[in-house]
Amino acid sequence: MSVPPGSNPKTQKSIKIVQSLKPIFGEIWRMTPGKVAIVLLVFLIAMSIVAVTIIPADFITKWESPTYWEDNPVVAPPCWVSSFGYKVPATLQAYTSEPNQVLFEGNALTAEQAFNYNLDVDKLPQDIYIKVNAPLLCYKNQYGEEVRVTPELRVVVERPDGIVFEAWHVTLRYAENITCGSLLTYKTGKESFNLASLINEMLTKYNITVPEDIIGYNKSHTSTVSAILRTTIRSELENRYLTTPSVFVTPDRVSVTLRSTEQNSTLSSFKITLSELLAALKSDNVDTFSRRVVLENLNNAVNNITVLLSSIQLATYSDFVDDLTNARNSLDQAIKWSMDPDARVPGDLRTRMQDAREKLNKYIETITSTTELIYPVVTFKPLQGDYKVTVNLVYSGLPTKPEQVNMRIGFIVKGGCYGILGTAAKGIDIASVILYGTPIALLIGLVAAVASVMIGVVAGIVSGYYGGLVDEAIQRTVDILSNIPFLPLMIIIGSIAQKSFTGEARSLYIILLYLVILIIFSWGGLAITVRAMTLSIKEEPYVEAARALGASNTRIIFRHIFPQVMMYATAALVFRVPDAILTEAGLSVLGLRHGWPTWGSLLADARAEYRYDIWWWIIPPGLMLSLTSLTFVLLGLAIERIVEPRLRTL
Amino acid sequence: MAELQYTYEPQKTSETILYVENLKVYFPLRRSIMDVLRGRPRLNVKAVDGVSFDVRKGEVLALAGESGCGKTTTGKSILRLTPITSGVIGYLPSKKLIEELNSIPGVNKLTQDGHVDLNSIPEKFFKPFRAEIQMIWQDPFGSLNPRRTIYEILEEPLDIHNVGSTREERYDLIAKMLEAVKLTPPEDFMYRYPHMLSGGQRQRIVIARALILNPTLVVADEPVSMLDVSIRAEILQLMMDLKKKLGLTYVFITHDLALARYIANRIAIMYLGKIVELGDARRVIETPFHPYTKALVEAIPEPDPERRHVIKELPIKGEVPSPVNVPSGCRFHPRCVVLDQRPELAELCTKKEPPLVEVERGRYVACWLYAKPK
Ligand SMILES: Nc1ncnc2c1ncn2[C@@H]1O[C@H](COP(=O)(O)OP(=O)(O)O)[C@@H](O)[C@H]1O
Ligand code: SF4
Ligand SMILES: [Mg+2]
Repeated sequence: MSVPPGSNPKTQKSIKIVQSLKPIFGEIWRMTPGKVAIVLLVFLIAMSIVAVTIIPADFITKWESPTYWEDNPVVAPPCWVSSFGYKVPATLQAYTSEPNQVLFEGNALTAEQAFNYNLDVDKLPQDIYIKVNAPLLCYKNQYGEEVRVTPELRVVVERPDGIVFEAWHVTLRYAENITCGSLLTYKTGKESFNLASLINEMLTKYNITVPEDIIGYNKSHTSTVSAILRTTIRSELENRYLTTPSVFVTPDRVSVTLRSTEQNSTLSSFKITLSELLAALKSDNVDTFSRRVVLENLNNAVNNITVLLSSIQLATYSDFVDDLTNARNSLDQAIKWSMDPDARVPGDLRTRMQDAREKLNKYIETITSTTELIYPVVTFKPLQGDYKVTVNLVYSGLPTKPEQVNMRIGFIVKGGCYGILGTAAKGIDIASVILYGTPIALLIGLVAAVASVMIGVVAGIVSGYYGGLVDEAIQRTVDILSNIPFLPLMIIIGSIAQKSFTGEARSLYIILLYLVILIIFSWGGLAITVRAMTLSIKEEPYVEAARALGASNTRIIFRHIFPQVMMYATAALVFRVPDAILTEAGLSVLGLRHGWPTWGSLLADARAEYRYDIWWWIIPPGLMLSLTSLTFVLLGLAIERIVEPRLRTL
Repeated sequence: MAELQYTYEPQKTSETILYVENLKVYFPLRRSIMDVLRGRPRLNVKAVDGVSFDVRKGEVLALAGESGCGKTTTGKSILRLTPITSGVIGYLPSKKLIEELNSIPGVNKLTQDGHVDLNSIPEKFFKPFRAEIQMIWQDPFGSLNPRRTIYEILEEPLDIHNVGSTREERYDLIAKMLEAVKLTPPEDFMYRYPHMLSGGQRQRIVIARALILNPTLVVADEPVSMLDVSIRAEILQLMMDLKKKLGLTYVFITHDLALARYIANRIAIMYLGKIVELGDARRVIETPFHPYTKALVEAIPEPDPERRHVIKELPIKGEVPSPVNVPSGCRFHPRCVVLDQRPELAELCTKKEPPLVEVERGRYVACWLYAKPK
């Protein structure tokens, strides 16, 4: 007999494996849960492939560093929210390495680049800045010395209201050890922001002044009061608007009032102190010239304050400052004359007069430099419209035109939204983490499931097949493991790991440790089931027949027991995949972080920052975790339905 | 003429391919913890309790008896599939194997002809015996792995014993074997799974698997009892043809005396773990001596359809006792109707176990009716 062509047993075998997979796939596909599971699985795998191909590998270590996300707005919703009526300013991250204009003129090399930004909503962007990378240029002067030239950076902003101001004007610096030609990097910040210039422009443009009726008759106070107004505006812009976003504000309401009645108690206490001094000096009836001068001046001072107090509602700023200055001057005179021995003023009274004088003087300083008396209230609102930002980089004093100057200019407006899934704290792009989290999740889930199923199957078969002491040992181990509370132990080990692992591979070690513990605790149940299956398969007549043919234990295990157990184990494996993923997420949320960009890490960040209210931060990782679990549970159900009828025939 | 034997001794000549001497197989019953604490003794299921017989080259020896009397256990003991409690199973291997055995230490050589004690062979040297002694199983459904194709099932013995160096060679062997069991054309069957075959076809596969290694001794454990009556004869005929063609020796286990008479040369009737009658199959069934054999023969269904409806009164009473508590004396005595007619035997039958005595040449019966106590 010859072998018919095409039916070589070997090809037959490999064809058979493929053919036996095909109907299983078909069977899964025929069931609704199976169909859903396969669609979801394909989606997850596609996400993983995309993640691995488009995201750089160093993402895994750098994703938590704030500089990695420097240009992103912080905790910003996804940009598509604006289509649902939630208006947010746009985010702009524009970089160019070819400026609009590069000129060499009169020994100066000038590069100019203009950027535009349109603010179309009634909200402010989080920040605005310019980032430049420009080389340090050098040349030799006539003495053969090396001269280093750094560029000067000017940023001029043209606002929709017509205000044009120079927001930044700095000369880039370099460290001593830097070589010629290497790139200098500069990012504009609020320290170098020319807020004063903006305020000046606003004051002029919107004609913001202190009303004359508040200043009163003495026009010489106008500048002091304006300074107070200016300081108020400045601190408002610095504190409430964080300085640089001031580019986008315009004054909304301006009011300046005098807090006259609030001064009542202070003035009254001055009056009482001075009146008491006056009474004390009068009581000893000394009547020398010097004493009379002292008394008279003291009296004047009291009178000044009394007059101010009596008409305090009508008093202008000039009234306050002048009356109090007069009172202080009189007090100065009184003190001066009280030094005269003839005045015979007792030491303790002199000290008291000096104290009163100090207090009064301090009070005058307060009302002339702070908002204690003069009270400006300035509010701002976003200024909508087109902004033009012109960036100039100027190298001056160059004898010749340099050949090639590589520079990069970036214009960043951190708006109120970012990307397709928004950002978390530090500007972390949630979409990237969600994407990158997919292969990690699948990997963690599969590694743990495969390892735990492998251990369970091997332990179960050995236990059931060989019986005896080995069986006893394995079963007792399972008993012990199933009685150790997993979560508390995991938390303890996790927190120790947090402290004891350091260095480059820290995250990997922590994850591996989690997986190892999870695997150790998860094979037991399967081992018991597989043991029971092995016990029953072992007694099957065909196993006895194989033994009668001389089959070794190894052959019986691998040819007869293992293939049957494997069908069941496959379903168990699929069911187990979400376990590890959820455990990792749970431990991360409990604060046992490992440092990899996982879905659990995103949730953990949200918890650490108390930002459970930020839906775009919470829902995507939560949804991905649920979807992944659903995928494998549905797939497991489908596989189980195929395996189950055959299980019953055991 | 030689004297008749008082107690049966199996023949151990060069024609004896296998003999079993005083084989006992006890299965310990599991005791509950309470039993252990109360100090109750360990109880045994005495599945086989002192069985002796011999099998001669080329014959068919039937092992018959009610179900549960220990037939299968005896058969499995011969294949060393169940550990024995005591006794000797002496097997005469092929010439080639006898030579190989010389180099193995610890083998108990029983006779000059080369019979070896199967249970003295270390496990790792037992494999060649597996090729020589094979079993045809009772259950054509359970004894084939449902997940393997017929090709894989038949390839397994070849794989285990490294028969056939190339795949083509194996393919040929398997195809030939399928043809030998009349499953033609073989290609139609090779890649099917057992559940795609009928019961009779499966049993042919079971037979093919047992014979593919060219065994000399085959233990057939009720090979047709689970098949439809209509195909039993075909399978039996196939077995007998193969026996003739391949020069096999069968130990044929059955509970069906009519069938035993049809195919066996000699027959051993077993009751509760012991042989009660042994002899030429035709003679034993036509003129049974032992009261139990008589009852069995009476129970054979009438071949004449006219008389099939007559309910016969069987010369037996009660139920089979449990093999855990074997009755004293003659183990058949609680059910023996002879005792009612011959009360003088009662003393002997209930106290003393009857020996298997030779009552005619080659005919042995274990009953006090035929033996004098020594
Ligand atoms: N592995 C075993 N463990 C315990 N008892 C057994 C085992 N195998 C058989 N027996 C018992 O031994 C007796 C004989 O069984 P068996 O040899 O199968 O009988 P037969 O094949 O004649 O029907 C029965 O009572 C059976 O219950
Ligand atoms: S020995 Fe006695 S009890 Fe046993 S079969 Fe013979 S007559 Fe019956
Ligand atoms: Mg049986």
